Amino acid sequence: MPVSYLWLIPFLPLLGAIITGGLALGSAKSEQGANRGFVALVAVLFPALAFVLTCLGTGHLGRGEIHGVTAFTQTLWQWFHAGSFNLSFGFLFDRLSSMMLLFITGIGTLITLYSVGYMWADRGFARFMAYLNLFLFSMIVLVLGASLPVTFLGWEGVGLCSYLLVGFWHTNNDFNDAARKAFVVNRIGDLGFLLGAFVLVSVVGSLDYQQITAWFRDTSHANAILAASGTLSLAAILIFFGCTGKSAQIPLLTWLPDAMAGPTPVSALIHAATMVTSGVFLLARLGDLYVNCLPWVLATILLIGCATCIFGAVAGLFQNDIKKALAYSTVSQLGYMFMACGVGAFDVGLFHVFTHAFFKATLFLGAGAVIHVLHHEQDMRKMGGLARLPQLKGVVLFAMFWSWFAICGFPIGSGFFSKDLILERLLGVGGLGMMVGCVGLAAAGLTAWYMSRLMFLTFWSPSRVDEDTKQHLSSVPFTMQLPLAILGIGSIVVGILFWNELPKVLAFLPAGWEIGRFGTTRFEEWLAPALAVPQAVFAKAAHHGLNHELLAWLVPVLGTTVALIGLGIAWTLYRKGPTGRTVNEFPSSAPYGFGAQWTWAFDNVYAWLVKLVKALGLVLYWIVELAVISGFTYVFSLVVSATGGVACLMQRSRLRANLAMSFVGVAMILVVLLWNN
Amino acid sequence: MDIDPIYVQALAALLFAIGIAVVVSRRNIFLLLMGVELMLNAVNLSFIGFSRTLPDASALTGSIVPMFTIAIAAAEACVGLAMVICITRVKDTVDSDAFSEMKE
Repeated sequence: MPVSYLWLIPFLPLLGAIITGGLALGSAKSEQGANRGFVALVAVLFPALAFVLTCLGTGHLGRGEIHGVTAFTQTLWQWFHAGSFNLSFGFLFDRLSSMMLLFITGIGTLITLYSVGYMWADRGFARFMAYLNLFLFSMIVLVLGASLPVTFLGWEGVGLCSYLLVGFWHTNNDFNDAARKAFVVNRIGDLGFLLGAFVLVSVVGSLDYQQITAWFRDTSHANAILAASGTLSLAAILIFFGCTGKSAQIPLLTWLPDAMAGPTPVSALIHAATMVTSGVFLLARLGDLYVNCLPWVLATILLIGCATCIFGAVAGLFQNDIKKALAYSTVSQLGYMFMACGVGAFDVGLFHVFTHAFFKATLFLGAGAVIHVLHHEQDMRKMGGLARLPQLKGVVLFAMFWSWFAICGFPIGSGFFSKDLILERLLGVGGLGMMVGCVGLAAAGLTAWYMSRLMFLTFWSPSRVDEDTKQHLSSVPFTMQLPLAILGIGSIVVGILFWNELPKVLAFLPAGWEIGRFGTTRFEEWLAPALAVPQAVFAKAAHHGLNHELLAWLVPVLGTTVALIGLGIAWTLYRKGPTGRTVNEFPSSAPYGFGAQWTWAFDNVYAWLVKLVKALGLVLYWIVELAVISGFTYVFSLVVSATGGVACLMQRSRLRANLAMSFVGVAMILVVLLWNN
Repeated sequence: MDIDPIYVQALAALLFAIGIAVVVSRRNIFLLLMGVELMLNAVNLSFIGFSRTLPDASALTGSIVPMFTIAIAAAEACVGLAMVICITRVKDTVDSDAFSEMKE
């Protein structure tokens, strides 16, 4: 159903970006920069208005569904058309984009508010706010786009903003390198996205999501889908490659830990809550494509998600930099989401996207508060005992504790519901999914281990903060405490919100407390209008694995057990402080050995790939450039100049020679003429 | 006394060849002009020879054209000698090779 207000949702943050960006430019030469109060007001107000509008739209959609309306659309203008191919610039607001927008604009507003406190003393305050608003605009366009090209615009926009914000402190060249790495690695993935879109349009003939979905759901296309399943699989795997770039999966994951060079609110917003999950969003958006291609595509996604999940968890265990530990945790959690997508359970993957956005944003914001208080100290070996500091023991500790509780998967935390649902789905499909599910269960234990390590090292172990820092601790302003408090509560609440038994509990009904009733089908039902076909396909496949009734109590019990085991290991190892090399032995916060970045072999593999490409370039330079192209032009020019030289000899003005030649010429003409007669 | 016309033509061709040889081989501009005169006269001789052998209608042409040629040759000698004076003023030489200046 067409509506007229959708364009306002991305436009409001864009307006905020233009105003704050204009103020930043206008005050470029002044000592202090633009008026911070006004900039902050604009930067927070416009995303907040976008959030309000999204809520209104969601409510509107809910009422529309009663009358069978599953999506709102708005076509802004005809973008381009070539032959029979038409593309308009439009927005699509269905359950999927509504869900994404709710947390993008909601958490985005809160993090912008947090940044007001975090970045207040920075000279580039207005510039930072302009970038944040521009990011929100791009992210909204990505999610709200009605077709792949519109999404691609947003996709590129968030990549650009990520680059700008990672390299925000551009006087540090390491940060600039990190920003460039993030940008280049994302570009490699974008190539996959584009190629995938081209392949897809060659089969389906449209790039509009609703038309693509309708094409796949049209039963008269069943034979066409079967015939083109190879091509469709190619499109699917290419688009998935684009997602591995944006969502930091193997093989394109190494940019995310480096991207921690940006200010902490950026890490919370872009590299934890929103941008990195857009890969999962895109897979779900094209869910009809993925369930219709050959089985190896989903198996690849499943295995890559699994490998990334376990890798991120193990790598997170070795980090001393608090933000890098969280970055690897994000990589690992994204692996969970892709595992869910890999068995076709996109809705469950999105549920984890949703809950993860809350608890991981809280963790990053809490870490940001710690870093703020300790004057930009990020090495956990120099922390410890922070729970007793008056600046941190209130709201920050509260938020960190509950988000830690949620990510570890302890009961009633939001991560408990979403992660267990993923494991349930994996174990439910049997075969490969079962094996991957067991790995996911192990990774859940590792998650509890590294997250508890982080908490022990920062908050609960004996203090290792040096006396000088202790004398000059900053305080946490209200603008930082409020988002932390809201998101800390959200980390717990957003899981329970979708718990099946919640209405009964709220009504004080006794039913639903028996074991095995931790189901959260309400989120799936919420998304059902947008994801009906993938859900139906998954439901058909889900009969091969373990019994559903069994899983419903087995997974929560197992998940909680491994989380407790992880917590126990962390308590044993780290309650007295960090293990491994001390600050004096090894000053860098990077893990010891395996290269400074500790991305296992990935950076080395990249280096080898770069060398390979360079060698290929050199060979091409020798063979194609020098031997073929240069050789040809050289020989050609040689022939031309030699001929010219000979002609030149004859054209020299040596009078008698010229005369002689003209006589010879006349004589030859005469001979020929006479001969013919 | 009647001469076989082939001898007349052969003499004309010989004179023409000598003219060419002079023009091509000698460097003195005066000799060059003389060579040109020789060639013109060889052509005149050829015309005269043909006026004797060809039918009457064409024969007159063969007698008239040499008149024009002689007039033009006189004009040509006049212009040629004037040019020789000009170029000797420029370079103080009558060697034709000294004026081969438009090289590559």
